[in-house]
Amino acid sequence: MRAFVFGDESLKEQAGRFVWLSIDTEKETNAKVQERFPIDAWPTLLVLDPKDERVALRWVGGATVTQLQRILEDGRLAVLGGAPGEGPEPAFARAERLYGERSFGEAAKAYQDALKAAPPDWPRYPRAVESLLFALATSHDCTTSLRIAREALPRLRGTPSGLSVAGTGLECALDLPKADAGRPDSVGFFEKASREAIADAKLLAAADDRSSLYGDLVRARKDAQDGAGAKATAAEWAAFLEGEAAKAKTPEARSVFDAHRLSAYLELGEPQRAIPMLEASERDFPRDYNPPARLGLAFRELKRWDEALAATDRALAKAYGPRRIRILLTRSDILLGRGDRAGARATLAEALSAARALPPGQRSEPLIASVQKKLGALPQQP
Amino acid sequence: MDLTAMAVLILALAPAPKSTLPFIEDDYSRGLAEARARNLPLFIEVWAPW
Repeated sequence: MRAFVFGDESLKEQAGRFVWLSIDTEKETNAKVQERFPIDAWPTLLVLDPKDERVALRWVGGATVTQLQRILEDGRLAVLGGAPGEGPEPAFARAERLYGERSFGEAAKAYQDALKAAPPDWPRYPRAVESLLFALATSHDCTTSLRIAREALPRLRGTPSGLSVAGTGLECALDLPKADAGRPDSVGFFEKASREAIADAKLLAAADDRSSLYGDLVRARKDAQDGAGAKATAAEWAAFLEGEAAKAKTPEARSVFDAHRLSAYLELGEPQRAIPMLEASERDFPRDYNPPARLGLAFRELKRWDEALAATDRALAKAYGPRRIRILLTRSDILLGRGDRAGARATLAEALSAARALPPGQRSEPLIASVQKKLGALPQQP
Repeated sequence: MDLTAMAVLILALAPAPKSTLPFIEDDYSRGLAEARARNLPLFIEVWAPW
């Protein structure tokens, strides 16, 4: 959003209507803010009522300029208050309050009440559906998600929300147990819908949303044991991202696609294609830990152990916060690949110690458990 | 770790801040105090640089 949304000239009129704050969750100084306002995915956009610090509106994920304009208008109205209107509005206001509080199960019920009462041209329909689907995903209610996504798709087709809903439906269908009798139909339905959304050149979705959907489509082909189809989809994904990066007018805008491109190249089995791009980003952004951290991953896949280790050295010298632990995990894999079991264990122990030392708000128990598990699976003697 | 899981870990957006909006960086107390003083809603972008 920083590269493609917040700089849009049309947002200038909003500048004086809010106080604007950005919070980098990797910084230890922001740990208390994270403790107070936990999030479930990056980025998350919040509109707070400054009187009581209530979250009046929560939006999970990125947004196009048009979507952000609506989020801002709704957020402002939610803070200014006033009696909710008629029809779906009282239920929607209740859902928004619960979603803001992260009471996702109750919020999902309220959003469904709002949708039942909504007229066909209700302008909040797309946002209500997207927030409802996220609330259901967080509540692990895949069955309801699939029903809502199927119902919503005809109405949202051709919009950024339609692309997002197709992807959510596909992820949910793929998450169903293999024994579920409805799984093949659901996967097929949402894979087709996702393909149609990707192919719709008029659909003004954010490039990273399209990119994520390509990732889901690769997963669907792999799920179908269609290795050639997965590779072909990954090739389309890489070509799309290379096209977007070529259009970028600044190194910043180009580097936004680095992580996505690396993922596509890894799926293609061609990590070497990421190296020139990441080396360029490392030159352009010498203080950023991301390019060398990603080079570490690419060199690891290529089994170029010395270059991989050197890249993680450079990344660790600049990294801070929880991401540092991820880089240490990569480094441990590299050492193990090189045959240095003792070094791999020592690096895992360092990662565990760093994970435990994170302050509340940044500390992640699942991450600690996964590092412990990795360490436990790596005995001192082979 | 399979490639899809790894892709989930590394899929994210990187640096590039050029905003037409006057963002306060990483200072919640200041943002809240300013919002109270100006009687405006506080918009927060919660993000990570990876």
